[in-house]
Amino acid sequence: MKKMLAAVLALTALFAAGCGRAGDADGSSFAPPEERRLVIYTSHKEEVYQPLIREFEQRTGIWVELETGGTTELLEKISQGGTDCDLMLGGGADSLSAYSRCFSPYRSKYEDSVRPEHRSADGSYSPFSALPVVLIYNTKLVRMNPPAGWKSLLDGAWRGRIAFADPAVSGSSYTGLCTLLQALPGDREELLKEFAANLKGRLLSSSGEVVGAVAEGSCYIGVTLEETALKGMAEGLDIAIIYPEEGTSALADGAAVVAGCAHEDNARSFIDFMLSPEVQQMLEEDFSRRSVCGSGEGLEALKLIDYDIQWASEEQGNLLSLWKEQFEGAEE
Amino acid sequence: MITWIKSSFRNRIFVTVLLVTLLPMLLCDVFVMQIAIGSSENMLYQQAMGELEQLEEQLEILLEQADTVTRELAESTVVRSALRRGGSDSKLLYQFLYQMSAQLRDYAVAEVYDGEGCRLYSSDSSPGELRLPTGWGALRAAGESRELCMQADSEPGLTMTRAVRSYDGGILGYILIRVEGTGFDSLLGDSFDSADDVFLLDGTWRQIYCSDSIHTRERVEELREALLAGRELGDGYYSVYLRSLGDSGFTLALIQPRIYTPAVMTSVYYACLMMGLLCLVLSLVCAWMLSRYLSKPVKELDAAMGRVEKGDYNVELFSDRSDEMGRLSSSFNRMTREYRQNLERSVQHERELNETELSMLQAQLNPHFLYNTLDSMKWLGVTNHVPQVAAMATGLAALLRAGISGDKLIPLEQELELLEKYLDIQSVRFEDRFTWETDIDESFQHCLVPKLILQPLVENAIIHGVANMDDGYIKLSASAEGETLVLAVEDNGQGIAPDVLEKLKDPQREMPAGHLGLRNVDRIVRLYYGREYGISAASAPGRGSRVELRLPLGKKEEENA
Repeated sequence: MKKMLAAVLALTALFAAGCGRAGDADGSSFAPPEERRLVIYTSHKEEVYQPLIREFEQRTGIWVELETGGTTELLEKISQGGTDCDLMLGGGADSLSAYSRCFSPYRSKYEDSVRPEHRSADGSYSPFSALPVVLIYNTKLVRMNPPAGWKSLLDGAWRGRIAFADPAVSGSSYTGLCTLLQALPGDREELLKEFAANLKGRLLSSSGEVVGAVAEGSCYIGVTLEETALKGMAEGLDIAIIYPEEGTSALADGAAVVAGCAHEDNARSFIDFMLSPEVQQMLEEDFSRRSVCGSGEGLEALKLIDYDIQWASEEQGNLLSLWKEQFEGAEE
Repeated sequence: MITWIKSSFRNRIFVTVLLVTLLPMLLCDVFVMQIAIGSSENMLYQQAMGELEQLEEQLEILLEQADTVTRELAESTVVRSALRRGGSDSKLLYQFLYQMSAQLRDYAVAEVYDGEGCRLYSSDSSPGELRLPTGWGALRAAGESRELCMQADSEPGLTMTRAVRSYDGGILGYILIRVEGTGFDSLLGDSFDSADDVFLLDGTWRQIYCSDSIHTRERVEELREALLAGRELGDGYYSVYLRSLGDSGFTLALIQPRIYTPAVMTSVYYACLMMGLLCLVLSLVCAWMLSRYLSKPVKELDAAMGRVEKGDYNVELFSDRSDEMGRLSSSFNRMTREYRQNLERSVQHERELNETELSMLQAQLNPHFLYNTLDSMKWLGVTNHVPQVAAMATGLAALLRAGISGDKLIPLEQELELLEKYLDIQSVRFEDRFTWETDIDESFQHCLVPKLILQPLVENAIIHGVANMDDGYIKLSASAEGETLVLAVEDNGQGIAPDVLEKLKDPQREMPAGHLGLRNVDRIVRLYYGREYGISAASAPGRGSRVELRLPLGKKEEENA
């Protein structure tokens, strides 16, 4: 009896569950095959990656899946393995070379047009765009004698009026500091102390605040990336750019194919696309960035120092502790 | 469970009724739900297919028109010569542009660009200055193809471009047709239900058009992610229907809200469950009541039958029903009544037979002959000075007379006299080894008792009680319990054996030989007066016994009346 009841109930439940989804389209026939897929991790902003990826998709018909995040976070994920990532897009040349073991070397067909200083030694990554460090000043507050170069940052005239982000926090600020130390002659530690003293205890907590601090007049001059400054100018802020007369650095960011990824060919064709003349040209026209290719006119015109990436990364610990020390001294 | 069901007629009815009421209800419930859900899903599916059909048709018309218009513009001499000449002031070209794009103008903008990507002419009302990169996007694609190139725009929209080529193949300029969201709205708005959403997606499922203007981006992204991850596109709340759009590589997606969403299904299931419970309770109550109604007369009949089997024929069933059960009850009553009458009739018959036998005996043994013989014996005793013989002959004669005289019931007084005569004879026989005493109130002297009914009791007391003693004692007493006369015979003899005592209590059981007298008395009394009268005995081995005879307390006058 109980068995019969149970059977009836089971039958009922079966019927109830059976009223499933009728008529749903089968999406699987619309999904692209594996050879037309590409998974990209990027630390770029949407305004940079969106047009690139859309154009890439339209040209090649490859479906791009995207995951965004911070450079360190994404690289860490890739290095731990187990991701489906094919291509890491974004991150400075120094960061990418630090994780070179995770990437499979590739030399693009456009490699020859890339400026030699931006090429990676082992081909583990390909450069995408160059980001020069520049000085900016407030055009309303500084009418006469704008700063000329790195030396101005040590000038007592700007004492306490310099917008500079904490290099312990901001990567671009650290690059700025190293550029200053490498561009100016003399003992680098002394230069660091001198510069720290000239800040008069004033440090911004992030690199994003530099343009704002100069534009609103709380600082007269500042150190930032050209891209950020150009965007500020495009928004109509009262700032102007100074390319230091001693020369400046233009570190590249890049992209790298993840070793052992599922869609390596597609990842490589994205790198080719990224280094193609049209994209490199667009970097300067639309993205306020510098092309890493020789054909780009802007970077040729800039006076660049021979920036020593290796020294910068080796000395990072020393320099930052010295900086901190100096800084605490300056505060007292 | 099964034994419980099988144990009773009522339980069977109960379970059957329960199943018969509950199961069809549950099955109906499920089937109706299935059919309702199935048909509504099917209806929605049909509707979605119809909408997709219509949308596809509209879009194909659009693409075809765009193809025709751009081809005619690109191949016209007017456009070519205007582009070759440069400038944006060709009245002729404007005229031609308007004319060509008339059928598209409600939802699309047609524009002419020169070879550098500068916009020269536009069917839009107030075009500004615009330069498109020729190495990027739509113009690049058109430059590399001789056909119409269709691309999703970064501002959601559709851009269709065709290069205008000189006769030697060089690019003179571009014809561009742009359809934006509002254009699609007016083109497709009538082709689908306002509750649904329509997405037009390009080859890599980037948005061209989305009818949901608020969550556009997220929903297209979600759909694309689900497709790439291989998940099901629809969920509990929406169905997704897809269709490829010709050879454009575009995909049309129709998002249709479901009627039976999980929330609705939950409440439907809940309602079904509640209904089921209610039905269960109702069925239980009905089954219980029905089974009781049906089984009650059967049970009563069963119980009555049991009583009849035990010999109680006075059972009557009361039923006011007119159905089979009622008829069965009255048949039963009729049966017991007839059985009772039969029994009475046979008792009567037996009695008559006995009387006939007795009268035959009387006829055979002429009483006068016996009396005269006994009288002669008496006088012989007197003359020979043996007074015991004289007394015995006198007593025996009296007993014999009483035995064959006509009256069946005699007053207790008379019965006692007869008993005295009997005891006198027995005293002689047992040489006065016992004494006896009568303790009967004057008021009982006129009570009517069956003739010679006490004699077997006393005989029993003598033979089975005091026969082997030297100082036996028998006492006869009478008392009244309400309307019942109780006559008791006590002795101090060896008592009645326990098994005999036991058998005496049950009228159905056979008495051992030598004790038939008691049983006969019992039977006669019961037959005469009914089951509540008769003999009861109490005894303790070695300490005597007491036999009681219960009779209705009837006086002589009442009997006569």
